[in-house]
Amino acid sequence: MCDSCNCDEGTVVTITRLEPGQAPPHHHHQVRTIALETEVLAKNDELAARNREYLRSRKILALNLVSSPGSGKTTILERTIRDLRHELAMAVIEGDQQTRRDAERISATGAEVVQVNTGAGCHLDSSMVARALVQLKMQDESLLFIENVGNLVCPALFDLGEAAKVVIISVTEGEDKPQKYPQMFRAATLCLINKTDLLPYLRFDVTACREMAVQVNPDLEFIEISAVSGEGMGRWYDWLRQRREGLHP
Amino acid sequence: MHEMSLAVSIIEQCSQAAEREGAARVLEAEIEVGCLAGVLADSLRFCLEVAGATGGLAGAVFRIAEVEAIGECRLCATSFPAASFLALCPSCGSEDVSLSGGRELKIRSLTIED
Repeated sequence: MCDSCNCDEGTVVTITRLEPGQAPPHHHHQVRTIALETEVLAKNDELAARNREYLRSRKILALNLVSSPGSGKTTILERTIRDLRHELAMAVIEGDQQTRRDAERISATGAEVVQVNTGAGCHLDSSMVARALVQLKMQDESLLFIENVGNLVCPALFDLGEAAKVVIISVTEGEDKPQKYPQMFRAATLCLINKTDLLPYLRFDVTACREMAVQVNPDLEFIEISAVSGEGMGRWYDWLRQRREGLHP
Repeated sequence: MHEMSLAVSIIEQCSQAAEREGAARVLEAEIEVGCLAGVLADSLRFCLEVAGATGGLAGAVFRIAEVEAIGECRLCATSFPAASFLALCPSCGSEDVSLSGGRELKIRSLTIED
């Protein structure tokens, strides 16, 4: 059998009568290898770069909030918006597979919000954010929170055009999450350890959690908070103020 | 979980490249996956086979090349191949390691038939 196209030429005798004028029945196909070097995520990354440029031109600080489901992302945002609304303009893009529940909670705080329902999708991508940005009425120099789909795996891979990723872990989860899901903790700039008001009732070891996170990302910053009691939230607000100042000193 | 959407994207890009080149069919595609890219090579291979079963890519072989990351110890400056985010310096045992590479996720080449 011929190597290039699996034809049987050369292995068996074939006897073929040609109709007068019939085209040659067989030719060797040309096989060649072309170098591509195409980034698989190029389309997402290009669109993310455009989102980033748009946000930068309007001096908007965009943060991508990522965590497991139930870590308290929406509660943190509700409290943050209520506490800072007289100081800062804030808008939110809410990502969930289904329902507008989270967007309704944010809307109740008076902030501008757009809900993205991903359907079966396990993460937000840059095109969803681009479409949400068109609908969102944002002020220049404001703060944009993008609350990603609750999932510690896939959102790590998809750049949305944010200035930084903030990963949230709650103390009701295992303290070894950073090592189980290193991709996400590696990609994040800040780690919020939430629900610290529950620590007296749990066996969560905050120091061990931080140590495990630092092993996957030596540059990760930490703030311990309780969005319910308000403990530590001031340090989170200071972090936000610093990041904003870094954007337009 | 995201391997299927990546597989669909890879197939789309391979098909477009094959069309640009005027290829009759694609025999082989070589994909490069870094060990820290967050992509499971086995899962991607499975998804590519499932998603690529039609059109000019029917029967194409997807070869996945896995690429290691390079770790560099920030204490003793030793450089070493790292297979995970939890890489420890092999010479001084430090955890303070900066990683480069290993995040690759690309289509290296296509072998096509005209």
